[in-house]
Amino acid sequence: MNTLGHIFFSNLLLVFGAPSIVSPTTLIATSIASVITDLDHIAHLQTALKTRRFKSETRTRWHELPGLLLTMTVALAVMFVSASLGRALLIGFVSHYFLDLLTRPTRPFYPLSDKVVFLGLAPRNLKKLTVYDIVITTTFGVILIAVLYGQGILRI
Amino acid sequence: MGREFSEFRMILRPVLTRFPMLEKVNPDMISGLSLVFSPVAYLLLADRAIIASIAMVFFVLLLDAFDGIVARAKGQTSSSKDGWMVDVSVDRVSEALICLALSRVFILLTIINMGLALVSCNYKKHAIIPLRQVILILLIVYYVLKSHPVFSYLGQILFGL
Repeated sequence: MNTLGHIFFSNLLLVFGAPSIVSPTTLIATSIASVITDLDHIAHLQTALKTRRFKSETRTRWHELPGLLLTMTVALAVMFVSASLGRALLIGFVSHYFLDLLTRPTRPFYPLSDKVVFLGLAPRNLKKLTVYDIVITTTFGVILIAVLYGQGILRI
Repeated sequence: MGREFSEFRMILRPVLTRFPMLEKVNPDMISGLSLVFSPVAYLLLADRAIIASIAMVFFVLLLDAFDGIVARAKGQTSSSKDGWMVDVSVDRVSEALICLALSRVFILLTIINMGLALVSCNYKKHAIIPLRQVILILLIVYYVLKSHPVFSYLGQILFGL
């Protein structure tokens, strides 16, 4: 999923699932946690600009189940210091893996196995995938903005 | 093993005859659907809508079991590495999502389960805690024992710690 999609979806999970901890700090923490996993793509940016997509081979072990294991452990450790911040980070980390597994070909057990897993719930064709991403991201974005505006956190 | 699956196919054959569209369904897609409904289970649990949560977790587990049934009916064996990987990765992420609404105990158990999944892949031995099933049972007990003194302790274990 694209960066905006990750940010919107993770914040939706935070706003609807843990409304008591919603604050600008937790919203920012969730947003950062939801996209930080994608940092390993930077090394493959040049290739991605040519092919217009990040292939599953550009994902390191930190972008798969071993990464989720590590990030969840970090979030759990943070929970003992600040429960709300830890929960916000956890939502961000988990939502990233959820969206990626759902919409992109991934290698969940990399480096133990190179097997690519694709659930077939999103198109693989680049044009169709772009439309799919735009529709999903816009939907998430509109709902999130409406909720944050309704709660008085966002003022337009 | 092969005979076991052929017998299983024989049992499922009438189901597939009645619903021929199942033959065309990709089992991975059913796994994907079980993953799609996991955030709903998380939101319901976060809202403490216990009956709805029980129904949703049960539905997620049902879809998870159904993908295996369809795969076997189509002649794909559960021992296939590809199917195992789809199943296990979907299960772990689904568990992680559901546990977002639960206490740290369950988050820790999710982490342990993820470690076990990686070890299973490495050593080719399947050892996983059936965490969502455990959550489902605890939720049912939690709902049934509403007026019992144990209720508050169970609530602490599920949502509080």
